[in-house]
Amino acid sequence: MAVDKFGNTIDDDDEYIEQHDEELFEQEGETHDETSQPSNEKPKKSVSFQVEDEEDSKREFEEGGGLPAQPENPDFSTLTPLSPEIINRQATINIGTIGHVAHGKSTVVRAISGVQPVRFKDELERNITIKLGYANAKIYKCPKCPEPDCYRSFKSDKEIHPKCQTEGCDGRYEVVRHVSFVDCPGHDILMSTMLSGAAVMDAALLLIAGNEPCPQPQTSEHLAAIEIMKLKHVIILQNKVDLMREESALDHQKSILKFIKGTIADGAPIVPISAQLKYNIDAVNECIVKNIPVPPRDFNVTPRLIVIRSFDVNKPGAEIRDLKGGVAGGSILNGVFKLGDEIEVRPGIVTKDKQGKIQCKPIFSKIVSLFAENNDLKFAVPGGLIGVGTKVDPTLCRADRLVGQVVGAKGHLPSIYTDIEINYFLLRRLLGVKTDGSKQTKVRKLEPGEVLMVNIGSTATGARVVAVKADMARLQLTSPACTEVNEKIALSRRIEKHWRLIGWATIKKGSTLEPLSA
Amino acid sequence: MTTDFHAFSDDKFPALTKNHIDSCKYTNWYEKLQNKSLEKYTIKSHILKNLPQTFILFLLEDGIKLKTNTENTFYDDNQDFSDWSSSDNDTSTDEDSIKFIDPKNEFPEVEDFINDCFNTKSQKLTPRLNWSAPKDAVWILPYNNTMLTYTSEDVYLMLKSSNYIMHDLLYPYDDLKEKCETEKVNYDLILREWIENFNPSLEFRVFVMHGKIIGISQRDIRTEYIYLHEIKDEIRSTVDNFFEEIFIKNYFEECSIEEQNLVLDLYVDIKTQNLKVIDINPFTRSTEPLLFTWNELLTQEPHKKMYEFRLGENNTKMSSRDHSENQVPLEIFDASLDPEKLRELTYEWNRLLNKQLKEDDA
Repeated sequence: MAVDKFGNTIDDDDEYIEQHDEELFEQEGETHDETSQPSNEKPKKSVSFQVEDEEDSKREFEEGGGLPAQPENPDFSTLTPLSPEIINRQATINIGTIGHVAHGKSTVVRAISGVQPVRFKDELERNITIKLGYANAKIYKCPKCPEPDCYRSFKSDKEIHPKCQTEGCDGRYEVVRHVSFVDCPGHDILMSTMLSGAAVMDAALLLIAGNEPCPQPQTSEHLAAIEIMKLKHVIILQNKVDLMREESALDHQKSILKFIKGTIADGAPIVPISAQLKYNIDAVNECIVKNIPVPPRDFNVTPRLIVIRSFDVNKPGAEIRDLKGGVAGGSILNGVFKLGDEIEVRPGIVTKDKQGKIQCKPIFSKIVSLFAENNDLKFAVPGGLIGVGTKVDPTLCRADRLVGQVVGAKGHLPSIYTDIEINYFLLRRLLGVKTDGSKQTKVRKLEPGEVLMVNIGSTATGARVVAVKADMARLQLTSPACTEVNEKIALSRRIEKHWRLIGWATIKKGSTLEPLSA
Repeated sequence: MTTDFHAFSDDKFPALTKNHIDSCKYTNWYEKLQNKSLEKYTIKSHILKNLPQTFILFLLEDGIKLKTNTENTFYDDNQDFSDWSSSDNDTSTDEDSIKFIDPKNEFPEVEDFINDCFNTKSQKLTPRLNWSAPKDAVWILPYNNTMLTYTSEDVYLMLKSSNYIMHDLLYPYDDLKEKCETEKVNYDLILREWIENFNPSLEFRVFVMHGKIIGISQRDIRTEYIYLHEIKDEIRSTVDNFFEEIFIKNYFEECSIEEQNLVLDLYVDIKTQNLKVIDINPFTRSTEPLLFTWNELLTQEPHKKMYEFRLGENNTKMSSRDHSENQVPLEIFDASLDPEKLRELTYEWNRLLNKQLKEDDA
């Protein structure tokens, strides 16, 4: 099998991953010679060897209990984010990873999850669209081995009882956690945390390079980020200890301890690791199990999901009878979605009538499939990113057309607002601009007729200012939005060729749109 | 997948000229293909050349203050949600308040052109300027994240809200070594006819250097379309055929081999034999390399037999929405990258929150 020489695909083959680590190691070195690309050093494998390999891993998968199917209709009041029925297949704890890219953030996530989470671009490229990714990992414990050696993590689709990898141990691992790593802060997460005032993540891994003095210039800011994102449970990873002597590693640890005293991370465990050499990853796993409390989730509330992508998987020109419905992906905020559930998507299909009046037609459908990474599910709970296969006309889901919409149980969705009355507060000056008294940076008051950008939850829409009175204003949304009274929104105005934050507001009242019947 | 975050020098790019960037202006390549009777490979477009300076200034100026003809679209008969009426408005005494723009007075030729297109050509059009389409601003209109517009006001709102359009207006020549004035650029407004049922899975970006294809990437990089693996070879040969037999002969006529560089966006539906040139982009760093990095493209072995063709994967791994960095205020985006800015933002945010709490108590 010809392997693409840049290794753009990550194989399940451990040897292959190992090799890539080495390449990566070289690349992360200070003096990377960019003209030297890995070329011919990869060992050629015979086809028969591959087949044998596949059979071996298949047998191992089955001997390890495989991935048992989820029960049809479990009693959700008895399930928790630790129930095997759930964590065998789906992540239930969201962990933000915070730290400087150069300190090996993605290498750490990969050392734990076996998944390359982020794809970096050359830093000079325009629109440094840093494509953040989710990477899920299962954390296992061997009942026979001592701590922390008994902890081990694998990819999300690993069998439930793999053989213990400690030499001489005949035990089999058990799944104890299933976590989802998300690169933080990320503008989307930041925006919704600031508006809702509630943490989006359940915990954070803070990465500090061991081979640089502590505090590093960024570290205090990273602590500030943790505070802003309201993350109460932090694990500090002292990375790159392979590059330092034991004594200096201990000194460094002391300086971290001193530094975090009195901060939000006071009392956080510090784990010395080498992500590159996968040293002490078992201790990180132990910390995740012991220091991150299981987030409280109520599986009995009505489910809700915000769509962050939607697509159509059908082959162009497929026969109508072979067509699959559209797929919506997002994170579940609340409750449980099950196969067969009747769902509603709001605001749905938006059109304007001849008079220019906006109309919405919510989409009603049924869930036909659920998946998290490579695992298909019978029910999905909050945690990680979930794909929801529906019976919705696939063309309506193409090219992210449903992004920003809310999915919920039929008849249990928030109202669709077209006009809102807000209590608003403006910044005196724009942020981030030198306040040398220049006129431009001052924030002008709201003017009737102007169009602003408003961020509501995780969506953005335009808003025309209709009327202003003291700290109250009435806005007409250019695109209808699902929201609720008392929700906070951010206001931005087009200034100096960008959308600039000018203030925020609370929705006090509004007029809702009566959706057209389907 | 390699973690490729080192910078590399621009020297590996073929020499970039102002001429090359200009040749990638929509109107230039569109008319070239039209003149060669290759219109079946283009999307029908209506073009207003040499936009008046008043319109460019309107796009650049602060705030969006448009005189609207569709008044109170939503709540004509529904004023009762508010206990104060619009006649109570605080009258604006701000002397330097921005004046409202009435397109009929300020740039009548643009207004007339757009209205004429909607009235006589097509009711569904998507706008763009010389190099970019306002893909990042679809959220300002209600049409389900499509680039569709139905009125001149839709067109203005979308263009004014887009950071990609600002790039066209302010930095089109930023990748050039010598700096060029943007004042002398002629801008065109292009309104393309909407094609129903365009499938984003069939859009591909083709990288061409020295007259040869050096790589193809799926454009929708976040989605894995399983069937593409089966028809990948067919797509490759269709693209090769079009490129060798039709495109290269007609397009690169007066260029030397060294100058035959560009990034071609194609729509390739092999089933219906439908191939369209969606865009032609400059071969430069500002053009997104999608599933490649520019480093990979430029440092590959020069005499490779077969170029790489990459398809998207990982349906549930990407966490952020496309272009979403343009749907939050700049301050939030900056803060997500720069912790110092994050701190400033939080400080101000908390200050305002406290102020509100105090007022609520009073």
